Amino acid sequence: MALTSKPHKAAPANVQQIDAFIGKGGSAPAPTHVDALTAKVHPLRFHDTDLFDRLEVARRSGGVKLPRNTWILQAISEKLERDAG
Amino acid sequence: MITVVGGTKGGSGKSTVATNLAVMLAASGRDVLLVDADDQETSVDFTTLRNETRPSGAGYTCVALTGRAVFTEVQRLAPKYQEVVIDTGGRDTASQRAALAVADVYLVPFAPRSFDVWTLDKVAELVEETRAVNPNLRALAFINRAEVRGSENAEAAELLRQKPALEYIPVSLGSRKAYAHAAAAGLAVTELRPQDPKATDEVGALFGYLFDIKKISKLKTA
Repeated sequence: MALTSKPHKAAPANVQQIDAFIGKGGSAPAPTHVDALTAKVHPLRFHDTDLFDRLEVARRSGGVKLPRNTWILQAISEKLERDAG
Repeated sequence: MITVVGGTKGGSGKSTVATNLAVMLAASGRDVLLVDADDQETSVDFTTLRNETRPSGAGYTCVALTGRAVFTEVQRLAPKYQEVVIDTGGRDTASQRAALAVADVYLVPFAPRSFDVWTLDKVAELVEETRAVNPNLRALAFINRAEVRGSENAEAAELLRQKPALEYIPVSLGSRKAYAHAAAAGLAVTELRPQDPKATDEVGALFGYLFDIKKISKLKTA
């Protein structure tokens, strides 16, 4: 066949349309972790700003950007495991 | 292909199906991303157990995502993997909608019980609504946790067939202890030893229907 009709390309849904669609879904139940409310808070001071910058670079370079608190807790956990082993 | 295992009813076996499919895809040689978009994070827990108990690790990558990030991150990560399986919670959440907006296939397990099939209309409406933003979505429904005897399976199948928004898959997974035993050990039911042949056959039939893959490598238990 020498001639074909013009292919129809599905029009991409616009961002607002997708946002509106997603927004109609319910949110996940609010966390009711008692430990989150009673968690011990230990503020960290980064005197060495380079260390903080390196932390942020490492945190952002992962496939999924973890919250800073989670990333630091994971790092502590990994060090403790390494030291214990 | 991006496959979302979802629905609007809890307890229909979504995480069991999602984790089994992810393991079987990995065993067939595919590079697999399992996305846990359920706040219960059952797939993450399963994967953690699997990573801890198997020297070779889970065999696939698992991440937990919620809300709109399911859409944006899966869009970004999907080209890096051959298969993406998304496990969503049993409610009409922003996470499930975000997954549907980016999915190729929506796989909905229904248990053959009244409370489950009563959610059929809502699921069908959700599919229709999704097609406004994702016109090529293929929505598939099948019976999970099927009864060993009685008429419930056939009755549920008839109700599923009546929904034009969903394509009924004539494959069902039985209500078998093997699935729970395998999950408790961080295994797909195909990896369980001694094997439950019926469970292995039926999950293999579902897998073959979805992915048209015949060969699954011999799976070793940890």
